[in-house]
Amino acid sequence: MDLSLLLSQLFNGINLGLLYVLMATGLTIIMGTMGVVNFSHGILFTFGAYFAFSIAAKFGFWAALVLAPVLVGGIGMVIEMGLVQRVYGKDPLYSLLLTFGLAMSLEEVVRIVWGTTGLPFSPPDFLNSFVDLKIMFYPLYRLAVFGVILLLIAALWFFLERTTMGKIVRAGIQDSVMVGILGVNTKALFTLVFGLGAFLAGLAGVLSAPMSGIMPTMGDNVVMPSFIVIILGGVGSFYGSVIGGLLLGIIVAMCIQFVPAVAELSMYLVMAIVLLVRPRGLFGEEGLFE
Amino acid sequence: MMWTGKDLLRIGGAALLFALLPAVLPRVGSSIPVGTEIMIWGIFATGYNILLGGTGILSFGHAAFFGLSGYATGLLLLKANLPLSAAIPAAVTMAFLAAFLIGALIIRKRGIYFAMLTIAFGQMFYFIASQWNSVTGGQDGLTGFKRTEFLGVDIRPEVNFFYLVFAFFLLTMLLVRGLMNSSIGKTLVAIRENIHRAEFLGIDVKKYQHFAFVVSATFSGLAGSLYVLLLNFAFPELLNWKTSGDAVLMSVIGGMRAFFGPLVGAGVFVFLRDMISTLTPHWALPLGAIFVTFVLFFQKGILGFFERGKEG
Repeated sequence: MDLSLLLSQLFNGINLGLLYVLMATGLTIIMGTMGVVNFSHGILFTFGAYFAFSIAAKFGFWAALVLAPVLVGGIGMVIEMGLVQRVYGKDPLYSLLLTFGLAMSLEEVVRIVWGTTGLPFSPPDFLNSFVDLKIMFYPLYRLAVFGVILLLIAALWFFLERTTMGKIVRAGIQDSVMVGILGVNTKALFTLVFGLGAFLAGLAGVLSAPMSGIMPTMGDNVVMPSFIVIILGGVGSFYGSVIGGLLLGIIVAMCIQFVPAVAELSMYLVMAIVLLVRPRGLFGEEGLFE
Repeated sequence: MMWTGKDLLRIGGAALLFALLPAVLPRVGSSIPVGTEIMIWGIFATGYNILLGGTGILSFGHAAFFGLSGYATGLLLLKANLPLSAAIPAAVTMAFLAAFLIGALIIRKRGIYFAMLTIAFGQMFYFIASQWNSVTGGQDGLTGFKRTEFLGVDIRPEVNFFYLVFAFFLLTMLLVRGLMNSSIGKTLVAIRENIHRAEFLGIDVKKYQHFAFVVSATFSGLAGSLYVLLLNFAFPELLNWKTSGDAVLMSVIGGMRAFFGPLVGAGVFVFLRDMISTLTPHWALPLGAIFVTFVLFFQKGILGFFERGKEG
């Protein structure tokens, strides 16, 4: 077997996995804190990519990289304050259907504004080259994506583990009612968490745009793997989504290269196996959703 | 007695209404297949609601059983040349078996975690349908088969097929009502209302939940088989989790705590979709907004809204 092929596919897998991590982390903290399965997460990802497309055309890539996720985060907070907030404390069914209907509408908005066909999106010129890694050439853009996401994961880790606000978020995942009783303004906390999740989805959308192009249904392709990552890692677990995301990305990339027929099926097989062996996922804690 | 007089009266009334549709629909600018489609979604949603409204379990994966049975029907006609009277039961049995196995694997999970698992397993089937080109036709879907006759009756004309679906529809309404009236149905409702109390009473909760999952999926299978015959076409989107979402929406829009809720929801869904799509190609935008409105302001659905305070 060709070593450089194996290695470049491993890199691609990590790349894909890191995108899953961004998506799944947002989903899992929203799910853990508010008990909401956010079906609009995929469309937020799509929005990130399309915003980046429009912003990059006018102000360049850097502006797009910063502004698009912030905009998507803002939209997330508006969605939370205007809609999702109204169904807290009710059957989780309602928040799920709410975001489902919302995603349906918003996907159509994308079609109306940007058209139904895909749009090209190339990496910025200064990143649009290949790097000589001695045993292989690898796209510089993908390496830059590594860097950005790893930095962001580190920042997230710092936020969740080392800051007071992060501690409150983690406590909210454990028991948001108790956090409210202890005097935290949970209303603001929820808006913040939803906005953070949306921001991460938007960023994932921006970063993936130059790698896979943009189209209205692009969110669907990452939402399902993200759900699986959460199932693999355990609901509400940050480490779980990181490890689960990387694991899934690598498995999928390897299958694409060596057994393409089962590339997508492999995700579900891994999920089924993990569920049989560890019903709560790799890092799931007792009590959440049982 | 499996049905009360009132049940029979109401189901009979609904049946009468639907029986007249082939005469009415073409006169009001609609067509017979629209009525057929409403009944098929009615079978899907009414059966599905045994699980959602009846037992209190949310599944986002029932499209998998709907589509699995649909593809199976097409394949059995195409490759095995079976008569429909054998193909439909065989296809529905496949949906039943798939639900039994998947249910056994995931029924111990609760709430939204369970819902997520149903999506994931459902998508597995969607993926298989869209990728296994040599068998399913891949993204292009499965074509080349036609419904011809059922037990000697020519079902090619739309009106004849309408009445075949009508027979299955009536059967479904009677079976589901009968089930929910039976002691099993009462047990399911008890589990929905208070799962811990049901456990303390010695009820094997997981067994009943599994049962509800499998039975509802079997009706999904029946609906899927009929739907594919209506179109003479099977395509991957039948199995997509969004199709499951449609069934959930129908139940909620109509009212998941009312027996006729899912049927009303199915009617409203098909009507709205057809109406809006004649006005604009972007029908998903207003349709999604209508769903959001329902979830925010009419959580008990249309029937629940009119029967305020009454549950059952």
